Amino acid sequence: MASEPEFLDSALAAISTAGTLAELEQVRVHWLGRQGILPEAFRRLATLSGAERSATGQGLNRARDAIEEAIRKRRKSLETDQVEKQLARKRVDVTLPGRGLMPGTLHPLTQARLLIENHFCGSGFTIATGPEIEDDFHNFTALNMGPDHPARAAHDTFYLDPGALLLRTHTSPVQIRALRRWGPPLRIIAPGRVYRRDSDLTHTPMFHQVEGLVVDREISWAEMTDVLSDFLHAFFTDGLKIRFRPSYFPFTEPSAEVDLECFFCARRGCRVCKQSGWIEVMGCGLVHPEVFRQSGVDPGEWSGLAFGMGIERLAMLKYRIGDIRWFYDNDLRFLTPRPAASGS
Amino acid sequence: MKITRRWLEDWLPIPMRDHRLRNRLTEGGFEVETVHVLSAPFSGVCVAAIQSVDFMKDGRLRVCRLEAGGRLATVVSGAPNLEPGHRVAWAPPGARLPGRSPLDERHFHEVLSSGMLCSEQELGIGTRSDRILELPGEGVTGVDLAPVLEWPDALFEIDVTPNRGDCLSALGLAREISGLTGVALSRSPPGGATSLPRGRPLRIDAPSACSRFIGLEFALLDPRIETPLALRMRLARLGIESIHPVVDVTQYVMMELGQPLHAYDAGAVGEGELRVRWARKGESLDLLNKRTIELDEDFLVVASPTRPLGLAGVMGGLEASVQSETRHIFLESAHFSPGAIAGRARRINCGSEAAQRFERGVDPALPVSAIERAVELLTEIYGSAIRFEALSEATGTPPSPREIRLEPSLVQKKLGCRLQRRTLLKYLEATRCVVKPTGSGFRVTPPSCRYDLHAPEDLVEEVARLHGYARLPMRPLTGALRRLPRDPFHASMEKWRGRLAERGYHETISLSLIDPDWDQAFAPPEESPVHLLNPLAGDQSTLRRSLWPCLVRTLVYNQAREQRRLRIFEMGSVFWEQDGRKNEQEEVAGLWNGSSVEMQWGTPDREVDFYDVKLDLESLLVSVPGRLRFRPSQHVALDPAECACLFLDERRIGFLGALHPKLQKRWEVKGKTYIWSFNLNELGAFSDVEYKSPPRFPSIRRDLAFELPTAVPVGEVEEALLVAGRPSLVEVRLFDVYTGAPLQEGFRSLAFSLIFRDEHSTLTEKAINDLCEKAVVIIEGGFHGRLRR
Repeated sequence: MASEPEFLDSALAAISTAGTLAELEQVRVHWLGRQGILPEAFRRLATLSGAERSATGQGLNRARDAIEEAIRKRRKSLETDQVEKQLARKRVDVTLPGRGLMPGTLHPLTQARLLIENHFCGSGFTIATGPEIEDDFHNFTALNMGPDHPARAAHDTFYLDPGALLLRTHTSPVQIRALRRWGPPLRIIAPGRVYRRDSDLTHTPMFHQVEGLVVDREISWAEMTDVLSDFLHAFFTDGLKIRFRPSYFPFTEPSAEVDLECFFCARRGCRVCKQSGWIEVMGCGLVHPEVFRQSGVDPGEWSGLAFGMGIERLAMLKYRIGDIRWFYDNDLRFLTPRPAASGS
Repeated sequence: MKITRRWLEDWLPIPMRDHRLRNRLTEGGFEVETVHVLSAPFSGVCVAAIQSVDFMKDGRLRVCRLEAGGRLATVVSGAPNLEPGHRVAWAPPGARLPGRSPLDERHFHEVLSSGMLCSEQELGIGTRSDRILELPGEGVTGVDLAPVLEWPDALFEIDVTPNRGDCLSALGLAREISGLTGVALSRSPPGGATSLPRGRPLRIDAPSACSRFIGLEFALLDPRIETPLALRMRLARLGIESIHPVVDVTQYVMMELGQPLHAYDAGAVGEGELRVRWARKGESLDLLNKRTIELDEDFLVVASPTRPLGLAGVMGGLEASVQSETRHIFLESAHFSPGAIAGRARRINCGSEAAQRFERGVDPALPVSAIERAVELLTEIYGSAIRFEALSEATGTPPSPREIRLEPSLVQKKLGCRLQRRTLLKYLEATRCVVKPTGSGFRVTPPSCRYDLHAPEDLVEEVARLHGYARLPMRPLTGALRRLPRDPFHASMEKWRGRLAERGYHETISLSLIDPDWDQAFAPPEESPVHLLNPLAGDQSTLRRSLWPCLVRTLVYNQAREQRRLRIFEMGSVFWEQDGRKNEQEEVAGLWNGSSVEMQWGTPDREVDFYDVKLDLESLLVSVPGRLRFRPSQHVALDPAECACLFLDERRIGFLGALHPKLQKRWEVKGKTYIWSFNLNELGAFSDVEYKSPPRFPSIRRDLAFELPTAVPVGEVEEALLVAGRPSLVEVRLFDVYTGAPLQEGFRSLAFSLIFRDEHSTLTEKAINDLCEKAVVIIEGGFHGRLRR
């Protein structure tokens, strides 16, 4: 059996010590290149004779295969090393914080208002507005609250002129303005600031309301309760029990307060619901004929539903905010919330 | 309105427990805010009769032998009012009294005393401690004392809506419970039975304001007699303090029937005629609450021939008020119409229980019942120690009964469901209306106490209420969908809000009512503030003229709470007065304090400067039509060195600048602070955007650097370049500003990139060179500048 040439070991040693692809190439040229040692050895075969030539030839063939295989392996290994090194140079620390600007936040009252507006705008309501400095007519008289009406006692009013100009105590005057401006039929909601002369743990002298008004030829209690149940389910949670409870507003007849089953205690009674199991969330009713007359609308031809809600109250319930005064302190640590663990 | 279950049970048996009653009332429109269970402050105390009383050897304490339900006991007591035959409160061993450990047997010398006899104070039910409690009349002994004193009981706090003045009494609420539950009243208010000679003449000069005026005169023969415990306890549970037996009776009758009564000292009233009349100009009256008021001519008064004695239906006068020594009393029971009383108490800022009822409407039939009930109670209290002397009466115009026509079709239209005719009839009768069927509907006459029932809609509500709101159907809204023009400016407000939040601003909302000093510090002196006539507090007495004081306040608040950097904005109305007119408009304002970027790696920390904030405004206003310009300006709240006025074309829309150093110092603001604001009403809406075809020819850039006096504003140089490069110069962009060597002092280098492009052809080298030449000439000529090469 023919033996490998004695130079094979030194060839393999040179390959395994080549540290870069360039060195390896030099080694390859040295051994396998046209002027290399192996081709030279093959050329010398011609000087040999017979069996010796055959045996040496076989040995050289095996040596060539072995060298080529060794070079291939070494090249692959060197290539992998090189990629690794490049990667190590380029790799970023993905745990370093991102750079640049984080967004700010909208006030929770704005967020609640936008939820309310978007719900109703999706049902064909238009947003209407009115001034915060109102006159007595729009704030009271046109809403069926004459000068000595006892219901005025509940509207502790800030006056700017004796008896004439005041800060609106509710958003209901927008009902009158919208009806006078556009006439029926219409669907509006009117968000805005309102003012009452009242300040304690649960009241601020300024707060926000959203008024709603639908006027059409056939509007009844049945439509009103549906519109509001749908809204409350969308704003809070589907399936919550809703209770319409008789109440009184001078500008609606019949009137109701809307109660929501207390989701803090599942109606077992707690501090939020004052042990009653129900949370009052808004007021509503069918538009009083007198309001239509004051707005130049024929109550025989048109009927309407109206509702009003306090945004602070709804936001406190939805976002579980414990104190109404936090809205107006504007403490940045309060204004920048974290996402709730699960939707509320 | 507070009422207890025991008060209600005088009128009807209540077939449900407290929480069910609470729900039934609430669902019937009488919101029960709270229910307090009232239980006795003691336990184990029973009623005993004194059989005998003997002095002990010390001559001070006495030994009583008691009988309680067949059980005999001996008790030692020091009380002065121990009489055989009296029924008393006995706390036997094991009984508990408030604030004491359980009672035990105790030796007094040789006598073993079983527990004790109790005073009101010891039982925790009153203030009297000098004598033991005596239970009036005869009766069983040995029974638990608590039920005898009406325990347990439940206090209901009910929110009675302003239309239901008839329910500000036990009778009114009992009627309502009867209507809601179908349980009939077990008694009715008393009718007039007392017959006495006529006394002093009474006259009504305002017949439409007062339909009835009844006066009962009586003399108290024993002024030492006190209000009995049962009556005092009834009042105490409603929070009414016992004052004088006669005053207590007036309170009791009002809470029971709803009729306000007023007791006058007959001696102070004088002998002459009493009148109900309108006040005269210049008259004044000292009220019971020791306030003097000037009377307007639409105040109704009860007056002697010489002067007003009381403000009718609101409050009595001080002069003729009942005192503890008063012996002769004139008791008024009158009906005043709501129109004559409403609003008066509020006008003089002096509310009363009487005014609350009269302005909502009191049943004109009640004055007679109330006098009768008062006679009953006074007789019970005083027995033979009272002499009823006279009963006088005058009448005015009684309110005429109203008749309302109700068609079932209206009920269907309003409630969205059909109710049977006989169901309607049942509900109308449950409200105690007189109902006469007509062809298709009903003619309904409401009871005299129901001032709230005027229109058919009011009856629809009664029907719905008694039927139960929960039983009415629900139906999705159908009908016209009409597109109303929405104010475009309001629509764009939400976009601005969103844009500011995206840029890193936090939205704040502040009260618009602020401290006049704060307001003053931020507002230009030529605008007057709008003050409230009746502020709650001095620091909330002015409507803000600017949003800045709110933002700076928020900054100060947050700096006190560890915040080192703040970017906030607020949107809202500002108010001012001009030429006697009060105005409001919507503004948006922002504040940036602290560093230019949030603390982070790889970005050097530096304080915010003017140009950081300017970019916020530029990016905010990028989609508003018109050219935005910043011009140097002055503002009372801004640092004169860093103050710009914002113009949109030629309209002034707002300000941007650094907070004035003197304000910064005044509120100890830390760090550089920029504030800006603009007027949203002036700004108009976001414009519709316009898209153009992409340019067909390439653009060419030339960079030019000029050496210019530092005082030359960059804005003017840019404008001049744009003019010079018309029409091919499409953009001028400043990319470097340099001062220092080799430039002279007072000069700086401004490097601009000019982008040229033509709509119709590729620009030639020569055309661009010509335009650049022109620009250089203009800059060198107009601004004393020099092209740097």
